[in-house]
Amino acid sequence: MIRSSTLLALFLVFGGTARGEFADTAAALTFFEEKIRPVLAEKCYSCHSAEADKVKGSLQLDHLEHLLAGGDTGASVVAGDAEASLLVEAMSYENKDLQMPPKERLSPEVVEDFRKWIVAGAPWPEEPVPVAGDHSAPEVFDLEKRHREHWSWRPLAVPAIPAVAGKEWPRSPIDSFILARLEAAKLRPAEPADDRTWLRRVHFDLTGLPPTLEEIRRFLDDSSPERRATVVDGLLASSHYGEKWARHWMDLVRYAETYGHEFDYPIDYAYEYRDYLIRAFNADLPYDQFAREHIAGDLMREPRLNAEEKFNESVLATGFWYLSEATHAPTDVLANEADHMSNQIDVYSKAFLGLTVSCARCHDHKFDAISTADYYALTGYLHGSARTERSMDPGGTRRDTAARQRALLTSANAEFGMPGGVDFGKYLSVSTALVREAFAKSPAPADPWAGIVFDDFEGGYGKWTVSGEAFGKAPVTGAIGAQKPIAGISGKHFANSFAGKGDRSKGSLRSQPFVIEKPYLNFHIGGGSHATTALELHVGGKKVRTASGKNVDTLAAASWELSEFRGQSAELVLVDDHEGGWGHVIVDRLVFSDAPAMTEGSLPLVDRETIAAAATSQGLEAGVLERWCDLISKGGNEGTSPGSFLSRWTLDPRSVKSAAKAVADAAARDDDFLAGSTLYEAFDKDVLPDGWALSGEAFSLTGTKPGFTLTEAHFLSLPGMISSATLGEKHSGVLRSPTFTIDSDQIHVRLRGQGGYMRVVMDNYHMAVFQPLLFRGTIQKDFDTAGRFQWKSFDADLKKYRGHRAYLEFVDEGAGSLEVDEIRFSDAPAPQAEPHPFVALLAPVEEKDWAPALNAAASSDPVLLASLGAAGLVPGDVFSPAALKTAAESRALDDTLPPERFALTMAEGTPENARVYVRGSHRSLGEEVPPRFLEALGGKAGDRLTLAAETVAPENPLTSRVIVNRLWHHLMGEGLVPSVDDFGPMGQLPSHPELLDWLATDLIAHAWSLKHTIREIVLSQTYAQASVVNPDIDKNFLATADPTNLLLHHMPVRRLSAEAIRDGILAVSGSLDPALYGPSVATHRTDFMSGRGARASGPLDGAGRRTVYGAIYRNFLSPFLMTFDMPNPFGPKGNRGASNVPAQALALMNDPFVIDQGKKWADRLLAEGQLTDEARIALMYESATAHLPDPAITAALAAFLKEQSTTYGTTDARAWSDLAHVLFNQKEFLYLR
Amino acid sequence: MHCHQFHPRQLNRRDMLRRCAMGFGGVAMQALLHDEATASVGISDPLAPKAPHFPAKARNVIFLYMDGGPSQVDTFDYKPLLEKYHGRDPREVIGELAPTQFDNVGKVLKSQWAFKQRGESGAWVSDLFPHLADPEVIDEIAFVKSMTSKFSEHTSANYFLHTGSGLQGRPSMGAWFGYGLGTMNRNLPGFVVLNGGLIPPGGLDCFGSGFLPAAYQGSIFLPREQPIANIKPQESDPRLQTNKLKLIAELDRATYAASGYDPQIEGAIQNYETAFRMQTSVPDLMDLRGEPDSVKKLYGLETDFENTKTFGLQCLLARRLVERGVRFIELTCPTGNGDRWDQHGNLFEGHSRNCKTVDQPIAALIKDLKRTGLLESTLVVWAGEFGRTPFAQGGDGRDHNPFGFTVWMAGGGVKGGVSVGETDEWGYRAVQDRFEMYDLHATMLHLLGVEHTRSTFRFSGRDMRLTDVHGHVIKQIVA
Repeated sequence: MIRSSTLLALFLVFGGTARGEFADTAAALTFFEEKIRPVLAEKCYSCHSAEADKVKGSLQLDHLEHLLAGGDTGASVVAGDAEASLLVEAMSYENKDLQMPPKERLSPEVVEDFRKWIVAGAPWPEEPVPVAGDHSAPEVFDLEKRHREHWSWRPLAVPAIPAVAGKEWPRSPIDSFILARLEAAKLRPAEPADDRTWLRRVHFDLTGLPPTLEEIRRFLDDSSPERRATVVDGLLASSHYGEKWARHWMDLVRYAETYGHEFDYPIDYAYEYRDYLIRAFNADLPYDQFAREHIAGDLMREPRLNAEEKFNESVLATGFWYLSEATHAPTDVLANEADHMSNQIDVYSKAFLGLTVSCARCHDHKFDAISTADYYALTGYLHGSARTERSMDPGGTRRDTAARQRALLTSANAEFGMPGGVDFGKYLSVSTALVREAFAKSPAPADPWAGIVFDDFEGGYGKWTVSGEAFGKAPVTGAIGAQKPIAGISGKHFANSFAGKGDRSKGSLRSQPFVIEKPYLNFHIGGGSHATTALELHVGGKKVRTASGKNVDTLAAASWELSEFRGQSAELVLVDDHEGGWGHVIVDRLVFSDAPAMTEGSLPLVDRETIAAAATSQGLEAGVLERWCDLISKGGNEGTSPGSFLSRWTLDPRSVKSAAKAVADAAARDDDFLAGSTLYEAFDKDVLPDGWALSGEAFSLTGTKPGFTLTEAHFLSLPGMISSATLGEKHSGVLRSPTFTIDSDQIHVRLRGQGGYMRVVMDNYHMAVFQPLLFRGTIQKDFDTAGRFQWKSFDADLKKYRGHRAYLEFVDEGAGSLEVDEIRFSDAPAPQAEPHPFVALLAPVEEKDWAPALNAAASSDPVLLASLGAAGLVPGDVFSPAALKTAAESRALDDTLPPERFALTMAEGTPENARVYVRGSHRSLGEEVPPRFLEALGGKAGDRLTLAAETVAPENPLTSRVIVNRLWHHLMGEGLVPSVDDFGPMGQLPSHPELLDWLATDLIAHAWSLKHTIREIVLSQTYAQASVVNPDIDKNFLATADPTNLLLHHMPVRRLSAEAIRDGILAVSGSLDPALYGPSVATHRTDFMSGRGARASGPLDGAGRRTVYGAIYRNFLSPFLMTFDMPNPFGPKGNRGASNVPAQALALMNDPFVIDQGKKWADRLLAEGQLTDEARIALMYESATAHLPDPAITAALAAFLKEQSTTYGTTDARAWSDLAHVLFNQKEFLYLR
Repeated sequence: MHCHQFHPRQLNRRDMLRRCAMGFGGVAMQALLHDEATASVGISDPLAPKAPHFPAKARNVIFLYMDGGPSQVDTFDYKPLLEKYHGRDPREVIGELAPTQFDNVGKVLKSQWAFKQRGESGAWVSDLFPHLADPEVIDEIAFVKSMTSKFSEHTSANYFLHTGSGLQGRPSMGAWFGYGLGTMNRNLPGFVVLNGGLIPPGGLDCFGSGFLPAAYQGSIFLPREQPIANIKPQESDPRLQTNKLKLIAELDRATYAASGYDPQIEGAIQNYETAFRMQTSVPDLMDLRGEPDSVKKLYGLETDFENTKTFGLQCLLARRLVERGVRFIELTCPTGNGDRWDQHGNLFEGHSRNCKTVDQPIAALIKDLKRTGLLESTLVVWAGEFGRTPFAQGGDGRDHNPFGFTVWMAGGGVKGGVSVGETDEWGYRAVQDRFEMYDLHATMLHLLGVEHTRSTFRFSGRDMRLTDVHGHVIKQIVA
């Protein structure tokens, strides 16, 4: 039951009771919510509230009514009279019999807060009075009220610049705001810092680098009144400015270049985002534009182009969404997605808005005006977007070239027609006759297996040295464990690297050396098709031959021609160095022979002269006839290719009788499959189907008519496809389906392809590309359909993801091509080994009818024609010479393409409404919410462009406040709001709220120019103060007036950041390479940095590049930088803190990098010229500190040189290196005063 | 209520000095210091010892991390039913199975080791742990046979075990102990990882300080002469370094004055003194010349199995670190035992090697801690990130099993000779007194006098703790 106490509430809130030092009721209530209620809740409510299991002393402290009424010992609070209030007495611990809380004395500050609150009349907001024993009353989430009551939601004020007594001090309004507060507190600013101190401060703050001696000199020699402005403008114009400020932003977006977790897989192209930041800060990109580009750079109609290279800059900013950690093989992919999105929203909301929106993932925010619906409204933007690696295409060269190529192709295709009147039948009959004739004349082939048996594995591994566990202890006789049955074994035993621990184990067999005596080595091989599961031949220590299986556990005959190595010593090595799927090799029957292991059906080649003569006499094109003959001779025996069909037919026409049945069976299977599956997409139209998206130039629809392509291997384009072969093999592109719900066990794609990959992306999980564990069959990469169309299926683990949301992605990364015919869903597998159209045509027909059938089909069926074309069996003169010329011209443009350059970005996906996950559980779906902005900031619905616009809308008071506060934080050591990432009720209050709003409005008034605000701050008198307190201020007075320097009565002393220390050392030693941009320099690895995913170590000095260009591998972060508080990149971190630990001293004393730089510095100076020791000492000291050494310091440094020289026994560079080392260790170097 | 905390603006030492209007000075400083051990560091020192929330016996933790996930049904959780149904399809006899990591479910697989009851407590221990089975040791141990994890994949499970969260970048429990209690020896780090050769999947972030200050992160000690980075002076003659430090101190005095006696600079100056001393204290730790041969033998330093020697040395160093007041010591496994404890295949050989590596050293550690009287104040914890399935993966392995597995504790405030919780008759799922990692963490903190709900740190807009919003002390094993 809840009693309301309207009268009391009216009195409390509206009765104008706020007294004491509070300006108004709102301020007093804010104070209550910030300072009083949380203490009551935390320290008292377990015993003294309606929530308590047992209310102690009959006292409740959860409503003013209870406080006034009191408990067993009487009223707790007497409003307006702190001294008469028992609450204060108990808290102050002065009465031995009344000390609360019982186990912990509250700090004097907290007690003082209570006093203030009581003196002000103990204001308490209107709310129901909780009654003990009633635990049913849920706390009502009142967004509107929270919005009304918390300072940071209120609109930006345009504060008046306060009047101050010390009129000569302020340079700008900033100083007036600061001075007004100092004067009110009866304080005064510190003396101005001396020129050198100020110069060093501003150099490090703006560029992260120390001033050079030349820069010091120039500044000191400048006597103009604008000398400081000159320095600041110079620094703001320096490219080092962007490097320094980009790094601050990188802390917020948890920038890293690997995904962390077990294998620390790479985040490719992350550095393009880093370079974007550097350029953006250097160009002083207006901050509102900067924010819009981050949120929706991919959707901008008129994106910003890079000034020099003319690529789309805006889209690069969206990369920040995807720089998070990521794990492989999550057992719950939806939970994994929810965690990712929480991180993405955390980064977005803290970085731009200073809000902890992710706190509302499980419940309405505990304190702030942010609901769970707000949180899930934002996840909708992520559900409706897709991570994509897109071609940057500087200058649009690739786009323009593609357009020219398409135009040329269109013109070539206008001339394209199906060839009528070409006698393919004649090519067929002449070639078969020639081959048959050659076969009749050829001697019987030698038995390829009759030579010297090297090993048939029937007698153990005696001939081999076994390493690792993969091959077991001895040859095996069949499949091992989960291995599929093995076909094609000769004899009983064979070598099988599945024998150890299946695909996971590694190992090798190395033969004893032998001499190669025969021209061929024949063998049977099967297993994985990796270079790391192979049989290798080593001659003279070099690998000269290698063979692998074809991802089948059927042993197939293979042969190496070894004539060139005859007489040489060699070794055979069987390797299995592969852990993933098909991580094994099987080998049997190694025989040295005089003949290659010809497969059944192979026939002798017809000699070239005979072919040429026949071509001339029959009026055929010699080259084409040659390919017809070779096709038959080299036929092979797998039965489905034209060559094998014809070669078997040539050997024995009866042997292909079964082919007709096979074709009929296949057709029936195909019919069954089509009937039992659902068509998802056929690409039969001229336009991209709804919801599908393309990026890059590679993919295009092939339309409704056949035509030419630019891929030489299959130069005919078939209608009704989407193909990346049309423009040849050098363009890249991504084709993405709309998001759909998986409702079948398998997804089948009929395609032809080579290279690239295709995948099903479930719940935005994109890591299967590295490791398919738990996602087997959902990704296919580096496949090669050998020029044929076939069904490739997403199967295996896909069925586990029924009911999940997913999209399909087809990626052509440049080399290779993908042509997608259609996509079907079914629960059954798709037919394999589709008969070749050529075989399908001939097999059911009597031989005498072949020629007319072939001629008829080739002039009407583009599929058959294309298949003949892909095999090189079509004479060129069947097409218009003009068309061929135009196509060739288009193809030649391929060679003019610049190398690809990719970036990680966001792309538009399928718009979706998110469902609220009740209590954060993805298993418990709540209401559906459309994508929209936070309700407390208007809640406008729309796409990401709307979200971007709302984020920087002038009515939104947070974005501008948050960014100016960040600038202040980086320049002044602490933000006006110290909790820089949290402007919510759990954050801290602004020390100078009016100044904060003045800075925010001033930023907007100056077109969001960050350089403007930075300039204003660093040219202020506030910033120019010394770090020593004004000597006129009494220390004892100061201890109460401004003990924490909240009012900025002096500049704080600040330690240099990790980057500034490292960059400063490089700059001073002369080793700094000022180059901008580019791929990162690998992290230098120490002995202490081991673990999975370790990369090769980079150079000790990071190649002299600035720290911002050093790689950031999540699992191998630089220990030196981490010691100095570089944050680990997992969440937004606007305030690094500055720890002070012995490990920092150890690093500077003993880290080889620091010592090495000292040596380089000394060596350089000694080589540079003749200086007196004293002059060199002065020069070094000034380089390191920007100050001149006083005589005492000079003497100490000189004495040190002498001492070191005494110990070394001679004066040489070592003593100077030691001196340099000391200068890097001194606090004057490490701190900014 | 986890969000309901209030932190007034923290006063650091500098603020405190100003507020007290003391300025710098030896006398003033001494007055602020807790004790001699921290005399040179001052009150802003994050590692200064802090009083526990309530009195407790344990002061130090040795965490024996069994990387990869040992099999509960082959070590301490005896399940005779597996023998009866050996070779049967588990889906037929156990019923529906949860998805496994490698999705390759084989037959029910009985343990290949004999189980016996040991000691007065009658604890079941298989023949894999003959030394641990010694009554003098086994009766010190409290088994929790119903531990569970939320993750069946190594990395997330490791983060969960180490940090209470499956995500990367959270503070390790060793860091939380440092945050809650500080350390008792300022010449050594408060959280030391004695690395046997394997860094767990997930990397060094298993030992990180996350959002806590960097001072709390684990320092990796390698069992070798120079165990940590930058501990060895690079100068060829000690006088060269002493001269440098003297000069640095002299220069710093000037800076200190010019900074208006800034306490940060003072702290940094003092860090050089500590660092200088660490250059001695760390090699002293590694110098085993004073250890009697009998002790070295006890730990297995003289066996002929290299991995026992390595782990034995780690255990001996752990005792020496406890003696020196280091708060939290974690031991990781030596390499070369097959793939850690992660026997997806070849279970017999893999587990045999892993047990041979750790059995004698762990038994020796407990005996030695008893001998030196340190066991009372030292909590020893043995745990992997999950257990293994009672059925086979493929032919002769076991897959990950987060649904019920065994961890144990001994020493500091733990009731020896007890066992709590049970898995089902297959050793597959915890069915009685099911515990979570949060409970393990809550119990560890409790044994050192820290109330887990009160040890919080403000980050990301809320008060974070090792146990998140969960955790119950496993009271049955608290003495």
